[in-house]
Amino acid sequence: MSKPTRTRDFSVPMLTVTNLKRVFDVSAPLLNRLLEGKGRSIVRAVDGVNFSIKAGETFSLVGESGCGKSTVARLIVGLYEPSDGSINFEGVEIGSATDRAKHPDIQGRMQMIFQDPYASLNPRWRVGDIVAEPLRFRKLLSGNAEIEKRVGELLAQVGLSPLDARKYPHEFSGGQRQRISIARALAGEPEFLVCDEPTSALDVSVQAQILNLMKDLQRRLGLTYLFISHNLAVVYHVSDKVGVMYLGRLVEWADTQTLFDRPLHPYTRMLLDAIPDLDMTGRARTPVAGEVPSPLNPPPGCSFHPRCPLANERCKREVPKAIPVEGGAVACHAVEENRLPPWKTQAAA
Amino acid sequence: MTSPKLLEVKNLRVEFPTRRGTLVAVDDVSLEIAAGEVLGVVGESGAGKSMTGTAIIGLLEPPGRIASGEIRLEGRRIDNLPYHEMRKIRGRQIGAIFQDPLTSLNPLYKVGDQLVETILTHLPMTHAQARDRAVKLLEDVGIPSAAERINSYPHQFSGGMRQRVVIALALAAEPKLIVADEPTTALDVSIQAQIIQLLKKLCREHGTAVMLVTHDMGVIAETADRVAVMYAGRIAEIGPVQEVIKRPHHPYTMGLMGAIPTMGHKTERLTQIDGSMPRLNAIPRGCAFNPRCPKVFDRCRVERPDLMPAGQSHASCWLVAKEPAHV
Amino acid sequence: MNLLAEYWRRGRDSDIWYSFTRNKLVMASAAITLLFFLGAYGAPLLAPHNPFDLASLNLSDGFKPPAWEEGGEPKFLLGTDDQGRDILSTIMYGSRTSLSVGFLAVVFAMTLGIALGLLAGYMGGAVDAFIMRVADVQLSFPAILIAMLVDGVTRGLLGADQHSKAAIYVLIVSIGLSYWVQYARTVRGQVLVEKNKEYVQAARVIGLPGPLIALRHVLPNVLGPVLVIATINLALAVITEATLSFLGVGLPPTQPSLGTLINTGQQFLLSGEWWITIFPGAALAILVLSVNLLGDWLRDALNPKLR
Repeated sequence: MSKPTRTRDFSVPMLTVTNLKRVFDVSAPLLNRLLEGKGRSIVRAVDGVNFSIKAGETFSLVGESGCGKSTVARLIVGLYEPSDGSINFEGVEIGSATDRAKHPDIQGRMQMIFQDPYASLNPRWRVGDIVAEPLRFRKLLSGNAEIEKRVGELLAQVGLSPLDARKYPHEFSGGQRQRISIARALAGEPEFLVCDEPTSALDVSVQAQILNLMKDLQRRLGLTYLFISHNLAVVYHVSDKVGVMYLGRLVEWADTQTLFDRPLHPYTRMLLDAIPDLDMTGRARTPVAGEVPSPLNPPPGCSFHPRCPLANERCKREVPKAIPVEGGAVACHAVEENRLPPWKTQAAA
Repeated sequence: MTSPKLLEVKNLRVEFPTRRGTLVAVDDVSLEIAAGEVLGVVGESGAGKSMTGTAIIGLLEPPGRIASGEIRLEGRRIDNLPYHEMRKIRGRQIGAIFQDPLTSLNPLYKVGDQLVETILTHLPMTHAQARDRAVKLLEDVGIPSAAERINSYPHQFSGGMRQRVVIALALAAEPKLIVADEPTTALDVSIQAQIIQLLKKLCREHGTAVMLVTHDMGVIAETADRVAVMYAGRIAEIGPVQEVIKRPHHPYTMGLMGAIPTMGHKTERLTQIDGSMPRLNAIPRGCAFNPRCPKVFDRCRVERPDLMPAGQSHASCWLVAKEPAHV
Repeated sequence: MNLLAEYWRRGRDSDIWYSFTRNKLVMASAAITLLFFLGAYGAPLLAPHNPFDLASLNLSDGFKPPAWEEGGEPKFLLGTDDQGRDILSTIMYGSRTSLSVGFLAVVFAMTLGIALGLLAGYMGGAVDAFIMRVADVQLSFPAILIAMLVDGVTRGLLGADQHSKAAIYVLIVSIGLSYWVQYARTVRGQVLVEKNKEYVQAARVIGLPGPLIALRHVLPNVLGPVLVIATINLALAVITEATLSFLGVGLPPTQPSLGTLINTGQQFLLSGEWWITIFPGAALAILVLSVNLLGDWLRDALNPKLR
């Protein structure tokens, strides 16, 4: 594009997250607590997460509702402040708000794409102004003519017409709005894009368009993605590495192919089993049990133990620590104690 | 047709008169469901699949109305019944499961009361018998400690449990057909699997037919016997599930299958159908898919194709008309 | 010019215009309101007489009944008061004062309410709690009482003489202060909703500071219901001014509004000169009713759920 890419040190990961924690206080108001004798209630939305992302790759966080993946995304991008732990971007610590304020240029290199295409664009602003906002705020360009030209380029890059800049968001479909969101994210010339379920609200055929577009852009602009999703098939398609979260903890992460071929953690295996089988190879399914417990009252020890077929006494008491394995890590006592049964590999279509 | 037809929809047309003209949400849709079979109706948003389901249950909101066509349940017409007649059919002959379990249950009434009310409305029994039946239904759908949970309120159940209660409610009066509109979309993946299994099992046991409306092809693959693919208010293709998924004939179905990411093999690019589904007030002439179709030719732009035999399925596509029916 | 034509075309095409032209009652209300505005602000040109030009008054013209009654004259269509002022003209001039006070009071209340509501909603925490408690306390007092309180305090501070000159401004401020709460609450509620939407989060990720986001992004989206409240509020403000003036704590008799007219006229009601108070009263009632109906319709027309 217009600017030369920064020289990057590929030996150091681009983003490193260490022991990241975020706690939400959802207690009832003081008066209610006094009258009803209730204690404080807190939700450990993110409870000690560790991972790193290399430049140019796509790292996905996958999990069901309440697992904390969206919170991790927001912590990284600065919408929440961590309760503990560190976020390190290219060697610079940007966890707390004060740290982040010291490095506004780093903030400018990160951008986010949101899930809801209808709520992520200001309904009262014209599309052109929405896309131009990062340009104007960061003073990357000056003069209306320059800005207009650049907005046109960005819109064309995401598959829309430069003339669309004059329209309002409600004149576009969901998929087109996501494209506008992507154009806005790209306006600031970021290197790191956090994508929070960008295609979950879209139809299948539109999703395909957006995923293809994102892959193209990644190749052309050298972007790094943190991709959040609950859809394992999508994650399989886009990611280089995948991390599985459950109730605020990262239970397993690995290279995509490794994770899907040889999942280790019982929850990962359960998730893979639960996906409806489009290929209908008629594979036998292990029975799935129970539901995700409320994050207000997670089970002690390993939070997955009530649903785990391999749970033993230790699992009920002790939180498993992450054990490095080939290409990733897994936090499971059964793995550590070598109690894991072999996994039937899926037959290719 | 070997099994008797339970539900027959012929040339159904659902319209919405607005001040800018009449919008046709369902355009000349014909389908059949045999007793005990599961028909999936799949399509993207705006395709008209929910509208078809709603029309069959008779819950179309005015100004939407059935403009023409017939809906027959066991041979008897139900699309033109007066309100109180349709009420008897709804619940007793046709049950319904909607997407959001939060709003499908009345938050102010205990779950047991809602079940008993439904049972007593349609089946002649005493209150005590109805209550016993309600407990048994809750057990069947897998609610633990059913005899106690029957006195709980909907908000005291989790999302997956609530959907199970909704299924129990739908089955309470032993209907012959259940219309399920996106029953698993609002649920987590692992719960989805449980609910799908449950639905399959119960419907097989009770001999209930299911019309499963969803946008999720994976759910259809697991659950349905036959599937209808809808596009812009019309049926693009209909046939046995393995046929439509593995050997689609309509270019839209082919595009749709290619667009779904699967975990069997990694592709660089997903199949992309350029453009998007036309809005209801801008449906193209001829075949509704023609502006986006990679195999379009002149006839497609002028003449609208009806469903034609294609292998073991039917597809509304002129390409199919060229070839004589062969496998 | 092209932009105007564009807006005109869009307006004609819109759903609001459609709903407007189909509702005869609302069209009539709009026409009446328009008539009042024209009559009030065009009074210097349109009124048959200038009732405040003391030179033109003639005491012998006093107490003339309306033109269609026995003893009336066509040049005093609705009769005259005790000073010989033409009732129709006084109504027109009085409406001007009433509408001006009402309108400006609403603008004041709106500005104050929106500002406080935005602040409370966006900042949350202690600021929000403080502003809302003040609002709650104020709501427990009737608006009239608050207006009277402010009025009385300024009267005490300024002295009667100064107060007369500044009366109209004091009145605007006091009425405005009694009505800001509704705007603040509504705006705050909307801000709480919009604050959590992704476009606000997107602005934060870009790095925009809070106040800028509140003003540029959130404010345009929370103004919707404000227009409806303002329209209905206008009627309320006019009534409040009339009430205050009627009670003698509003405008002095030298600056007549519909309220003062009703007030001065009521002493003649029982002695038979009914027109001096009834006509201004009827005018007030019709104006307020029309504006209220317009406001009601606007609220329903702008409600996306009813469309």
